[in-house]
Amino acid sequence: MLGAMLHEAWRAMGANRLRTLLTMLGMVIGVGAVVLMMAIGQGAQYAVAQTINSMGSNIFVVLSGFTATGGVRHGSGNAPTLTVADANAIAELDGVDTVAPVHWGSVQMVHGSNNWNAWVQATTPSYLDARSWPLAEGASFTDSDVRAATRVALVGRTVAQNLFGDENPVGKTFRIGLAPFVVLGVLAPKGQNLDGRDQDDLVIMPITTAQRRVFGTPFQGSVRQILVKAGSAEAMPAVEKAMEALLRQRHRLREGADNDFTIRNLTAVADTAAETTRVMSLLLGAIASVSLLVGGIGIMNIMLVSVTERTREIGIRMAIGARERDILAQFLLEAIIISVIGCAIGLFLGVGGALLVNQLAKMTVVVSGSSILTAFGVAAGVGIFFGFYPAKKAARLDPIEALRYQ
Amino acid sequence: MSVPAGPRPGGQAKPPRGSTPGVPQGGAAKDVERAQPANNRHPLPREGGRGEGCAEVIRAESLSKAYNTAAGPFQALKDVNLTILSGEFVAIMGPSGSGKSTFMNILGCLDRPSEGRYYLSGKNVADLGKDETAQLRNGTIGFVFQGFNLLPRMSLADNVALPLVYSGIGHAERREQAQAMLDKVGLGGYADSLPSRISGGQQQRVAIARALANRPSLILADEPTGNLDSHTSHDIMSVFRTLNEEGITIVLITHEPDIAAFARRQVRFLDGEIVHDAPTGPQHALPSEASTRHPLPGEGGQGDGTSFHPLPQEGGRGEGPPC
Repeated sequence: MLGAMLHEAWRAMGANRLRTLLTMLGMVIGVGAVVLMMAIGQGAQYAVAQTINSMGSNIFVVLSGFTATGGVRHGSGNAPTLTVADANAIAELDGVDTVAPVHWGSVQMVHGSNNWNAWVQATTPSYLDARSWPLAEGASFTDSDVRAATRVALVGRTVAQNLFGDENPVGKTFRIGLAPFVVLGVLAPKGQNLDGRDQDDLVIMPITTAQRRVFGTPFQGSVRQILVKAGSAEAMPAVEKAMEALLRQRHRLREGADNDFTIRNLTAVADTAAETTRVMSLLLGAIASVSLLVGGIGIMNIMLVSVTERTREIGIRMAIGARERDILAQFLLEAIIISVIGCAIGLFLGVGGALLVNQLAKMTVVVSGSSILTAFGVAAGVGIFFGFYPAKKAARLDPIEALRYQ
Repeated sequence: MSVPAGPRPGGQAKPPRGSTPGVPQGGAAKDVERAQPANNRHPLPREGGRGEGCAEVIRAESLSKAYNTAAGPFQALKDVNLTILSGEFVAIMGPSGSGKSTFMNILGCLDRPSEGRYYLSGKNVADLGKDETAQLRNGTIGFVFQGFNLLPRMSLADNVALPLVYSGIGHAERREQAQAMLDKVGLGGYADSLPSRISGGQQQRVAIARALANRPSLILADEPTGNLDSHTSHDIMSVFRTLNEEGITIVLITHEPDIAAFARRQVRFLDGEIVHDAPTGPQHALPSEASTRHPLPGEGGQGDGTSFHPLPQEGGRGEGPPC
């Protein structure tokens, strides 16, 4: 029975090939658009998730206050209001896991005939813990390096490539000004951060070394920011409050005075970014779904025309013993076949389009099995949903009227 | 598969000759029903099967059908009573609008009467659901239409096999059966042709083959020769005649007296009523004459709904219907 019905559906579709193809095209475009948009949306979400992982989790950044020169304000991190001592005090608070004071600056460095300008993060070994940043090669410097201000450094992959080329940098020396630094390790690559900056284009060294040998800060012990990692996501609000109170007290700020520091919750920033991409991918999917809907309406339209055209045929079939459900199944099957074949072609084009976007626009795209299954399910659903009304209409025809139809 | 079947020869008690098998006294209808063998997948009955198992195929009891038209209610059928026995060959005649097509639609389970009862092979059709009437149309009744009504994009074999699709028969058996039926109507060599490639008379033969595909006990033909020239018409009628001789009950609508003359019994409708019902004989060949010469018995005179049950023996022609 099913074989015969499939055969008939195929014959009915073949009887008007152009019309069938155009109807199918609606589904092809709809499904193709949904698959492509989902691939792009999920790709964006994946990229953001990667970046968030690279930042480390449950992180606060405490930035020092700003300076002003004759009314021109220079932005956070420029006033020497935070110190290493502040960092040590924060480390004593409940719920705080790791604390790393950070000072930074941009520095020209030289190795052999290569030179490169990179960002120097001057900090303590706990910085790597806080950012969950493993080393690709070598080993980190230690607290004793910090105390002794030894001239050692960890290099990011970009720096390593630009200064050392193909050589293994571990154990090699580079110079900043006249001071030589020994490379202890190479950081694992992290890629871009949320702002699109290359996180691997940096050098990490003990904060004491940097302040004495590199930056020559006039305020010894001051830092531009303190990285604080809370023990858990739940502890973050309490830690934020305690930190603020502690710093206000240590900085002797009077009631009502502005903070001379800024606390930023990076996780909140990351959540916002993730939410933004999620909304974006939903929006893309929604727009693509509209074309799927239009494709479905196209199927319904053509099926209605087909039912009208074949009224007499339906009458004949009923007269020779077709039950209502036979007629219903016949037309429904036809709609489902059109939408499923259209879906298969659309899937093919959608995945192809996603790969093309990946190649041409260098965008991350993710074609997941679930999105393919969803597209197939939706297409079959569209076929059933939009095919049902015309099929029901056909099944409900009065055989006498249908036989009389010219 | 089991389809309600018409009478088949052999094994069944034969009603005594001269009795009126259809008189609904007590459990008569049930007796009739019991008399139907359930299996109709046998080959068509041979000649000689006639005269056995003479059961009612059709019994219409005071059928009325009213339509609501723009000009008010229209009574298409008025209290029509008719019984047709197994193996009969009945021509239904009458002018346009006389109710014969409405009657035919009711016989074919395509329509339902407003009032009255219609028994097909002893079953009250009003008791059956839509699917069951579809099964009756599929297995018990074969339809032949004026316009042939073959599906244009299907091969002849597929057209003939279509009723078998709806009775759930497998592909190989469908094909075999379709070929057998095409052979039977003399078009075995055209199985894979499309209907547009053959003549009207041949198309009607294919339509007859399709009507026969499920081995029905009753064939209903609505002006089967209306679109054919007289030579082809006679050709088609002799096909019907042969089928009738094989034991199939045939009811056909026609306008033409020469076509009606092929039948063994002629029923004439006028304004929704049966005005003439008699076996075909030389004196009945002209319907207009016949209708004046054979006035109706009084309606409801017997009150049992079988007042129009002509006994074929009265026909006076050598080849009467089987009972």
